[in-house]
Amino acid sequence: MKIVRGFLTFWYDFFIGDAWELAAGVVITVLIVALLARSPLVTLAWLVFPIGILACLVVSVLMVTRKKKA
Amino acid sequence: MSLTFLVLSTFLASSVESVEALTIILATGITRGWYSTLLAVGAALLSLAVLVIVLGPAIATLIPLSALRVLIGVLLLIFGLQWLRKAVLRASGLKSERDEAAIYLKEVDALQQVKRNRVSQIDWTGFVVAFKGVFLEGLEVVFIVVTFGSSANNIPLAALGAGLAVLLVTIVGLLLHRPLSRVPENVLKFSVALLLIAFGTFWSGEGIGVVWPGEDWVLVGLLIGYAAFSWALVLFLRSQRAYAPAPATTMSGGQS
Repeated sequence: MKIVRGFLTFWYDFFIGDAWELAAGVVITVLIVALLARSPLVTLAWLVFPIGILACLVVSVLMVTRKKKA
Repeated sequence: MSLTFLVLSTFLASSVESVEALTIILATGITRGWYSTLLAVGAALLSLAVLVIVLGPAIATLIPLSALRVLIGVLLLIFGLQWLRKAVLRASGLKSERDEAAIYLKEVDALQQVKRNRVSQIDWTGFVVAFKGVFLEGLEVVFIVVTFGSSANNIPLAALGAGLAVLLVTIVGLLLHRPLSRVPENVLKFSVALLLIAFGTFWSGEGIGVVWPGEDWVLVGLLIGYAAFSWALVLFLRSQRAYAPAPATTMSGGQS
């Protein structure tokens, strides 16, 4: 049990670290863009993708600034 | 397809992929250390060689390149955003000097540990980023050789064109890595994060079916767009700090 927990903790720290919102945001953005790429709005997909990624960055940075203020 | 055209086509197409791999190698090597990066390059090339030997020309149909692009792209995006977030916070002065001192002490401690155990010298983040970059781009070079070579019925000549491209790009990399090492660390980390995000967006986008305007050239646009936005974010955060009651720290904002 200890080994499994250690294994999972290692991978969580490795990929997600102290910013879970970035990993979650990237996955959600990719899913939305994948849906867009299969819809009639396919031409918007290339534009939505970088905007979604930048939104993830802004949210994560603002979370840090809020934490510092609190 | 004439033989000259075959060599030229594979040379040019492979050059594009090799330059992309070189960018990742240089960025990772300079910021995360050359030991782990070169180990990753070797591991990626070895994995590719094994794949090519086992699968042969069928490799182009057996490997789901789109799924691989999505997976690698998403991971690059996550790593890149984590690095960019830290770089933005440092440049805007929101990451305190005390953190830097703690990181320094942690690094010194880690280096001392390394002397005792060679395995712990591997920087796994650097290793994974470099491995993914080289493996994906290498796989694309293999696909180019197989598809171009098969259509011209001459895989060895297609491999020659690709080999020349890889050789040329390697020489360029050897010439470039020293001048790049002199760039301040914060600037490099900011730049590397932007590169990872640009490549991550491009590759995962290709994997999920996004049609990029300008194809590979969109990478330049993504890089410029991400850089401009990140810098605007730094300026915004600095202006917010100017109104804050706490005393300003002497962070290296200008360096990023």
